[in-house]
Amino acid sequence: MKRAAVIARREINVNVRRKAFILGVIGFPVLIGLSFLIPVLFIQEFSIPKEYKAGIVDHASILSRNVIELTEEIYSPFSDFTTQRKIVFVIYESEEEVRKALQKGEIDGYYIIPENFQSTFSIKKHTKGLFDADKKLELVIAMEFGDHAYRFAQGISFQEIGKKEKPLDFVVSMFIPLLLFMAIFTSSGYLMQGIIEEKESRVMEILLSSASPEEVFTGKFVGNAITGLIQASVWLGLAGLFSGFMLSVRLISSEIIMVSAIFFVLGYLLYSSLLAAIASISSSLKEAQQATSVIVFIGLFPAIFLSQITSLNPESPAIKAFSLFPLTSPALMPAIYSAGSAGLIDIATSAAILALTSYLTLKLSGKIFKYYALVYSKPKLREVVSLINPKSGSDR
Amino acid sequence: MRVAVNAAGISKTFGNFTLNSITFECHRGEVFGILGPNGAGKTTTLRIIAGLVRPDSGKISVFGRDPERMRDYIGYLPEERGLYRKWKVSDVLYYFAELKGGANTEYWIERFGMEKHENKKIEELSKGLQQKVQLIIAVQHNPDLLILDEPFSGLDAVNINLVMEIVKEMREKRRCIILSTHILNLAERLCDRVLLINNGREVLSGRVDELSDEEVQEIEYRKNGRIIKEITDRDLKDLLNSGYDIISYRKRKLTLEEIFLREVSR
Repeated sequence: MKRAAVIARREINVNVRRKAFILGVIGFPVLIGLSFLIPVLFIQEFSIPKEYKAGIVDHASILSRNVIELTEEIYSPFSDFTTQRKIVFVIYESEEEVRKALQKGEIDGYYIIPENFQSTFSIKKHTKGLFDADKKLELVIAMEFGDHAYRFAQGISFQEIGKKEKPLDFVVSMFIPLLLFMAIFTSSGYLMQGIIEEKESRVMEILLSSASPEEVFTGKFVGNAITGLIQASVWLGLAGLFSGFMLSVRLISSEIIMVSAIFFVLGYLLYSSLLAAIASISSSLKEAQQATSVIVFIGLFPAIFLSQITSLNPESPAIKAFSLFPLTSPALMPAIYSAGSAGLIDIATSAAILALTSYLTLKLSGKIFKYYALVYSKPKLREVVSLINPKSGSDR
Repeated sequence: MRVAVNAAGISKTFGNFTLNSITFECHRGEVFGILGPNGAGKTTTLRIIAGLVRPDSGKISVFGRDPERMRDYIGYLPEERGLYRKWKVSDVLYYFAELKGGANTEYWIERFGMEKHENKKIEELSKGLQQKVQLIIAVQHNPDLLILDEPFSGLDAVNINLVMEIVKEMREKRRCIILSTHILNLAERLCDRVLLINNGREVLSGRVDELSDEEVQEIEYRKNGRIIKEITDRDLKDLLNSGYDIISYRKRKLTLEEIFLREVSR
């Protein structure tokens, strides 16, 4: 396998020096990032609710009214756009009562003013979604205290007790599986392109006189997988920088990275095997690309609708089927998992089906490569299909 | 082991073409030519010897073993030339040298006069120079068996001479060289033995000096103001009596080309 290592090293060297690779590594995540970020910012800007209703449990008996209504103006940092929002505070008797109200959707969040508020100036809060009413509550409390308003306005601390969803968490969660999926496609694409170029330029004949078909295939396979990993690592690094420093959003969990990595490796095996087989029986890059476009479309189908996945019901038969189908599971399963809608059994089942399919495809692809690497004419479909038979020889 | 290649009744079918039960043996210290018209099956035979293609039936061995296991001992120049066009000459040579497990690349660069072109990209080279790069790939690891498929195509007279010199040198070093060429006068000068194939079948084989042992009469005469040269088996007296204006007459051995044409047209 020394020769396979030499070929793998050569594949990596050639790929990482490609202009397309360098541009793709830097440009693609930026493009994807913007395509996610811009709609999110617009959603933030234009979907500001007209009314925000918060419950208050006032253990310190500060507030004199049971319902308090205020309005506020919201300025957009991105345009001259301004909107008005009504804020309604409703007093509840107990914490249990206010929690139930939140669960029922009667309120958007709640605040608990503790008995010792006047000594701690601290309020617990449970908010949902992107908005809260902290500043307005400060104002209401300050108004109740008249001349002492400034003390509270300056010094109240709010402690979140609910799990507040950060606006861009889900974007990052979707972003990573999509990037890894794109890495699968680009590295599989390099593998296909390499085989075609070597067939077209007739270098394949010299190559196969220097190394066995198995060594050539293995070398190319491993080399391109490493290229994909390099690409994915750079992309993950950039995603980390982007989310950590620029958006102050926590990087996705190690579990999501692990699940994504498993599906990346298995997905690469499957797609590379398929594309290598297509390259082996094609006589030109154009011909191979035409054949590949169908596979790429099927694979990308769920990815196109990735941002919709959180709003779709992951339990629906369609989503279940796509998450088990080997061509779509590499992109879909990590996304579903990152959206918190897949358990260990779902992951294991999907990964097992994908692994088995990848193994069988890899074996068949190796056979096709060995048989057709030096055949420059278009083979008959019947001949190719006959190779699926495990008893069929792979002698050229 | 004296026998370098042993092919016993090898057959191979590709679509409509069939290579039909070819048998031959090549030895160390010998240049063996596989000759035949286009589509005769020369390249298929060479690919089988190089271990690139397996025969459907028959047996092939290189130094007594399966050719697929003898890659490091075989140097191969394919008929259809191809190289990594964007790569530098030296990168291509060292890559294939590494795949062969080491080679004397510097010596061969110098031997082929390629020092000036080492750092050029393949696409910047002329066809002849690209062919030299491919020849270096084939010989740089000093193979025991050198397979050359049409080694002279695309080369000028100087480089044809260089390749012939190298082939002869390798023969002196007890290497076995198998080549196919359509330039039959070169094959005649270079090969010790030849195998002539046509339509996938063996037509003739043997030592070049024995094949061309047959003596013929060549006459040159003037007829209706035109000079005609032909080989004839008629007696010289008959020719003189029949009123031909004979310019020259000589007895000589048949050339390989004439044997080739005669056998192929049968």
